[in-house]
Amino acid sequence: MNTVTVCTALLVDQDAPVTIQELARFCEQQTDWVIMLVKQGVLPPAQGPRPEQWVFTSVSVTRARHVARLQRDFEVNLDAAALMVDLMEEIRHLRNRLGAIR
Amino acid sequence: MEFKDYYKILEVTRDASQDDIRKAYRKLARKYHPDVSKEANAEARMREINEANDVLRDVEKRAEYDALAAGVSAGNGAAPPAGWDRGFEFSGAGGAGESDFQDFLNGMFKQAAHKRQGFAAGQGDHRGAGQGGGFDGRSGGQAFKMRGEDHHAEIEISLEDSFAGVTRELSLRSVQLDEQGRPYMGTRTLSVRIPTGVREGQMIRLSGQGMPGEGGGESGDLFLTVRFAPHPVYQAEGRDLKMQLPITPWEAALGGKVHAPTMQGEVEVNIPAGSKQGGKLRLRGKGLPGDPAGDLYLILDIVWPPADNEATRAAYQQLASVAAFNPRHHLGVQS
Repeated sequence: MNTVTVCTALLVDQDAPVTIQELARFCEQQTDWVIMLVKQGVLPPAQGPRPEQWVFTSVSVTRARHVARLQRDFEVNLDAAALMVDLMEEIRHLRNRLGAIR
Repeated sequence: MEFKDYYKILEVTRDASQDDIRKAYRKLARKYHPDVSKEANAEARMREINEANDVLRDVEKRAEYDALAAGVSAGNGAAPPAGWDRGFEFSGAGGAGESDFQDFLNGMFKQAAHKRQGFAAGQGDHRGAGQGGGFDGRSGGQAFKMRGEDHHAEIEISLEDSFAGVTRELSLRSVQLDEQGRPYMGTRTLSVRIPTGVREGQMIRLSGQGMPGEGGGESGDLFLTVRFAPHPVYQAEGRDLKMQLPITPWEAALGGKVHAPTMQGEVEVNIPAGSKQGGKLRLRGKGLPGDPAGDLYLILDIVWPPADNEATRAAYQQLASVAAFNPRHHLGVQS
C-alpha cells in the first residue's frame, strides 16, 4: 500500500529561513565562504546581528549555489563567478521582459 | 536498464586524463548552458553533461564508475545497482518537476564517502566533517550520528496555483536506507500544500523529507524551488504580473473605457487619451496575493484594423487626408 505523507510546506522567505550553516552545506563550502560572499556584495546583506546568526532568503540561496557550482566547474575565482551569475540573471530578466512585450 | 556512458556524454575516450575531462566539460558547458545555448534540448543535455562531469571529475567516483561499467560490458552478471540510471524525481498529477539525477548520485556516492569519513574520523581525521552536517566524530569511531542530506528539486506550478494555493501529490523516488543502513531506490508520496502567493524562485522547505540520517541522526530537508509554467496571458515578475492589453487606435487617441481580464475576474479600465504603444497602466493589488499584494501592469498594444473592405479603406483615406502626420519627421525626410 502506498502511504501518503502529508507535509507542511514552509516558505523559506517567511517561515523557515536558511541558516548560514545550512547555506554553507548546500554549497559544499565552509561558513567563511558564505561570509565572504556577503562581505563582497555577491549576496545581499543577510539578516541577523552576527554571521553565525545570519539567515538567508531564497534568492540568496539560489545565487550562492549558482556561484559555488560555477566556481567548482570552471575553477574561476569568486569575482568571475559572481559576474557570470549577474550576467545570467540579467539575461533571464531581459528574456522575461521580452516575453512580456511579444 | 540503460547504463549511461559518461565518457560518450563528455565526448572523451575512456583513457582521458582528468585534465582532458575538465576541458571537455568546460567546452560542452559553454555550448549547452541553458542560459546562453541556442541548441535544442540544451537543458536536458546540460543535465546529462553535469551528471557525467560529477562522476568523472572525481577520481574516486570515476574509479567506482569504471569498475561498474567494466562489469556491465563484460556481461558477467555484475549489473549496475538498482536505480543506477534513475533520477530523484517527482511525477504527480499535474505536477512537473526536475528530474535530478545528481541528487541520486550524490546520495549514492556521499553515502559511501560518509562511511569512509566515519572511519577516518575515528582515527582523528575530521577532514570535511563540517560538510556532513551534524557529524559526531567524538565518539572515537565506535558509533556516529549523521544528519541526512538535504535534497533540492524544482516544482512547476501555474500562476493560478499560486493565486489560489494548491495541494500537490508528489511521487518521490529517492535513495532511502534499509534497516541495515544500505541504500535502495524507494518511492514515497508526499502531499504538499503550496501556500497562496508563492512566487517564482521562492523555496519551500519540507522538514525531514530529505535523506534519512544515520545512527539516529535526523533526516535532511527537502527544498523545492518554485517555477511557474508559462502562462498564455500573464508574466510574473516577483509579486507583480504583466500582460499585453490590445487596444484600438481610437481608444489610444481618444481615451475610453475598456475591459481587461485579471486573475480575480474582468475589470473596467480607463485608457487615458493620447496613450502610446507600450504604455503601461498599473492596476494596484491585482498581482499575486501577499502582504502587500502585487500589481498588475497592462502593457498597451495598439492594434490596427485591417483595411479589408471599402468602408475601412475610405476611413483610412480620410484619416490620411486630415491628419497631416509624418512619423518619419525625426529622420529628416519630407514624407
